[in-house]
Parts: sequence; structure tokens; C-alpha cells
Amino acid sequence: MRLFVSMRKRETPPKVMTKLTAGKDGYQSGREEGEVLDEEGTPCASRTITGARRSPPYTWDDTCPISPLDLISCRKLCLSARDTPKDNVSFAFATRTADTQSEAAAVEERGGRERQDMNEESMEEEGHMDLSEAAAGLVQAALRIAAPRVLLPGDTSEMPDHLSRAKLGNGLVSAHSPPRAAKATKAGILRFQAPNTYRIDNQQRRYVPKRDDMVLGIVEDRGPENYRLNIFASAPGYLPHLAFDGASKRNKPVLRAGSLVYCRVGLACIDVDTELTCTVTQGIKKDWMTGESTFGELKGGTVTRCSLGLCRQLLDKDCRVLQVLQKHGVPFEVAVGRNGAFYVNAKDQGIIVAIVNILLNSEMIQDGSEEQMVKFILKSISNRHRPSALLVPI
Amino acid sequence: MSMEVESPPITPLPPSSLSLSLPPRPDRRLANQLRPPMCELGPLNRADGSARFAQGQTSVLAAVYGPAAPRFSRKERVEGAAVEVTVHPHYGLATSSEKEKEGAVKALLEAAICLERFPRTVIHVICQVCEDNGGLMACLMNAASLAVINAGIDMKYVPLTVSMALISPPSATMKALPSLPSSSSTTAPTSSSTYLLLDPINEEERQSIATITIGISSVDQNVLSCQSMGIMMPSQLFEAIDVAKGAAKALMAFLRMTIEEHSRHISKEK
Repeated sequence: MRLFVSMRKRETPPKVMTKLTAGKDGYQSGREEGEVLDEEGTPCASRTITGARRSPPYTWDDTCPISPLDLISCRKLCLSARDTPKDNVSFAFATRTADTQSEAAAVEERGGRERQDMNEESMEEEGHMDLSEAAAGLVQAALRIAAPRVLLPGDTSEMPDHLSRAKLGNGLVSAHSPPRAAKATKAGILRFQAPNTYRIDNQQRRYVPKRDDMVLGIVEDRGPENYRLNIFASAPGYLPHLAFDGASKRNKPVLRAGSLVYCRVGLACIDVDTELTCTVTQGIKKDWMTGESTFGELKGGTVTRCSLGLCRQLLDKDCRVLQVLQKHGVPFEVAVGRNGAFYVNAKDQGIIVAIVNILLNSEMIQDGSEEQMVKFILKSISNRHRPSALLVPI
Repeated sequence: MSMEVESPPITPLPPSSLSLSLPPRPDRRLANQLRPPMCELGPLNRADGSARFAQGQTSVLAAVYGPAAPRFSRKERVEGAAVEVTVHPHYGLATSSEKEKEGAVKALLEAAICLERFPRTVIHVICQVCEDNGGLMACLMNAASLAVINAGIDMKYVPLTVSMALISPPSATMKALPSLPSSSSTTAPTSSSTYLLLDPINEEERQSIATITIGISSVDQNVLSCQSMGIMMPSQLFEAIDVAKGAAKALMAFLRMTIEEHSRHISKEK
């Protein structure tokens, strides 16, 4: 039995979605309410709505006894993509990648079969194409344009042979059916990190503790032996009282509920409580008393929660936003935790707010627009009641 | 002892004809057509994962919080996460039928999620029915699955759910119930056949002999869940499973596109 998705003329107006636009004309702050952007609009949305869009009345084949119905098959859709003007094409799956190129490519792919049917001039003859084939065709076309590979839970991916031992990171487990393959357990983009690690990038917010991750924690409670910290994971972490460099029973930091601590995950096991520590294993060891140690309590400033993906971007050594901020010469301090939180501190409250906004926005913004965005935000802060010495001309 | 009763055949409808033995569906779909699906990932800011899934005028918003520490330690399961589902109906208070739906969604998610990765935690799934025009069970399950995927909780596969209705066209002399083995075979309707309608709306569900919702795994097309109401023969059930597998492939293609789109948007890969 052939199956396909039906399209129906929508009675209701199309869904309204809010979006943060950073289009071709540069960064626009704020949120706009509007219709779903079509392929021209280069949407850069924090949320995506795909689905049936408002479809104009389209002509049905005169020879078909069913008329005038709002049903089209996916095959006819692909045909019409070539002929009709772009905004008349209503597609069941509003994909960004469905620009004319990939649609045409997909159509060409099945051109042989379709041209046959077109000649016969009857829809009921051959039957409609299975939607999954058509959808798969478009996906294939998109992939051919060298887009990064998105995996869904259950998808397997072969690891290349030349890697002596591939490490599987976030969201991947080893699959046994094809040898040397990895199975995805999360939905996201498959990424390779030199020298031999594969992982799935997704934008989840809940942290899963891993050893030697640097995290930000908020003290919830103080026990006799350790502090209980909220590290935005499924369970709290525990930081021993003496887990600071140079700390002894008589000389240890006193943290209160609500303090922010930058620490390292010492022990992370799914069955056992997560253990945190503020000691340093490699690098320069500084006593907690000096206030110059890497880990420890963070005073002042503000902590903001974000997605794990943004934290990974910020911790990357080639992070563009931080490079741009460095160029502007704005004085601030930032501590990024792998658990979906970052801390910003500066002498001036306005700068703190600006930096927080800049970092949050950098998640969604297109490459190349960071410069503009940073200038815009810093300018808006400086215009209020501060001298424009904030913006260092570069 | 069973007397084999020949079940009335389920005719797979030729794709073209809306003539004539089968009256047209209220929304002019063919029997083997799904309503156009709509999906929005991450509409809720505060939830760990959320999704809005709609098929036609049936729409469900699902939110996932977790894996989180359970409020009461008695809810902890040492071997894996516990899944708690709440279904809020379209209007009114939740009743026992919502409880039934919750149980079904929970069973589906417990099969799909890698529970052993999150011992002693709870995954809360809250589903709010926004619109109900038939096929609600399938919509609930799809929305919950998408919300769990959006939350980044590890899953073994993507569960896809489809609902179907078994109808017999009104040209039959009487409401064509497939006869039970015990009764005489002469009451089995001979001239009329029963049809399987994919993705029924409320009107069709009400007039149907039976409705059935089947969950299929995306990886190896196994049946994950099966809820049915009404009377059907075993052969009709197996037909329905085959139909569901086909429809699940179409849904999977849609989900794949949605998630690819979403992933590419939020990852700045253009």
C-alpha cells in the first residue's frame, strides 16, 4: 500500500513564530513577530516550525476525476517546484535546504520516473511516490551540497578505517552490526574533533557530569564534610571542605548557601554522587588564600545559564566572540563552566549586562556578524550614561 | 475448537479512486493519507526539552524535565531512570482515560529511552492536549518522543506512532461487525469490506468499528506499542501493523527533516 502525506489548504492563518533575526543586513536585536520566513528570508531562528504552510489554490489535472481537491502528492509537488513560481510552492516540510538547487537536484534524481508519468498525463496511472522516498531524496540532495551530517537516535555511522582508535564522545555508542560503526543516541550534528574523537553536538541544557570538566556550581547547603552544590545536572555535586589548594582544617574557605564556585569534576559516575574539587592537578598551583587560584569562590558579577553547546563554543580556543571582545578592549572577567553556565564580572554594571547579552546572542548568530553585534550592544550601553570610552576604536 | 471465520478482506485502496464504494472522507483525503504533520522543537524556554506536534487539527504540546532528582526517594529506581508522564486533556480535569494514555506513553518512552544511563533519576514528561480532532494517542506519543529528543536524553531509536480506524462503508446492510468465531458464519458480511483509514479524525473514529494506534521503532520497524478499541480480527490487526510500518517511514522522513533543519539552524551551520 502506497502512502503519502496529504496537503490541505489551511483554514487557519499560518503559525506565528518569534525569532531573533540576524540576516544578511546584519544583526537586529529584539524579537520580531511575524510569519514563517520562506527560503528567501534566510531565517536564523531559535525555533523552527516545519509544517504545512498556507497553500494557494493550485490547479489540478483536468483529466483527473477528482477535482478540485486540495490534495497533491509529493511527486506532483516536486514537479511543480520546477514550473511554478517559488512562493506558490507549498511543501509539506518547509525545509531551509529546499531552495531551488536542491529541489531541482532531487527532481532530477527522480526525473526518469517522473517524466514517464508526466507523459501519460494521468495521476492515477503510476500511483504516488512514497513520501519517505521523496523526503529522503531531498535530504540526499541537501547532503550532497556538503552540509554537515545530522544524526537521529538510532542512526549508525561508519567510522573511517584510518583512525586507529576512534573515541566516541557525547551521544555516540559503539554499534556492533556494521563493524567499526557508531550508533547515535542523541539527535544532533556529527562532529569530528582532532585527533580521534567523534561526538554529537546538540543544544541540550541539562549537564551530564564528566571527569575533569570545569563547572560552575551554586552552594545549596553545607554539610559536616562537604558542600552540596547545584551543578545543573540530574543530581547535586559534593565539594569537600578541604578540596582547595593549601587548605587545612584551620585554614579553609567558608562558603555560604548561594555562593558561586568554579570547580572541577573529580569523580563522575552515574551510580555515585558527583565529587567536585577546587584543587589543580596540572599547571600552576596557587593557594586559595591568594585569590589567584583558578578554582574557588567567585565573588560579585552574575551567573547566567545557557545551553551546553554555547559553553562548548565559548571554551573553544578559537571562539570568535571572545576574540572580538578582546579587540574592543573592554575589561571584564568571564568564567565558563561546561555545565551550561557562565559567570561575568566587570567593574561597571553596564558592561556586565552587555557582555552577558553578547555571549548569549553569540550562540545563534551567524559567523561574521559577531563584530556588528558586539558594536551594537556596546554602543547601546555606552550611549546611556557612560562616556564612549567603552568603545575603543579599532 | 475455533471455527475459522474468514475475515472480511481489507482492500488496500488503489491510490487514485475516490469513487464510489467508499464515500469520500470528510477532509477529502484518501484512505492511505496522513494529515500534514507540523512540528515545532523547543517552544518552551524553561523545560529541558519541549515539542509541539500536530497532525491536522490534533495538536499536543509536550515538555520534558529531566533526568532530575526525584522528590521522594521511594520513586528512585536503582537500575535506571523512572519515567513519569502527565497528560492534561483539552478541557476539563484529567480522568481515567488520561491515566490510560499516560500509561501508554510511559511504556513507549521506557522502551525507547536508554534508562540505564540515568539511575535514580526521574524523567517528567508533561503533555498538554491543545486540540483534539482524532488520532490523539498517536499525536501524544509523537509529541512526547520529540520532546525527549529535544531534551537530549539518550534514546535507542525514534518511536513513531500512527493511528488508524477500521471502518465499513455505510453501504453495508447493517453495521458490519466482524463476527466472532462462536457465532454462525452467515452473519459475516460478504458483500461489504472493511477499510483501514489512516489517521482518522474524530468523525471517522466515532463511526468506526475499531480504532488502533501502533508505535513503530525507526530502526528495525518493530512494534513498540499497540492500543486498540473495538473489535477486529487478528488478520486485520496484522494488516494494520503493516500499514503502520509504512506510515511510520513517512513520519520518520518528516522528523528527520525537522530535526536536521532545527540542528542546522541552532548550530550556525548554514
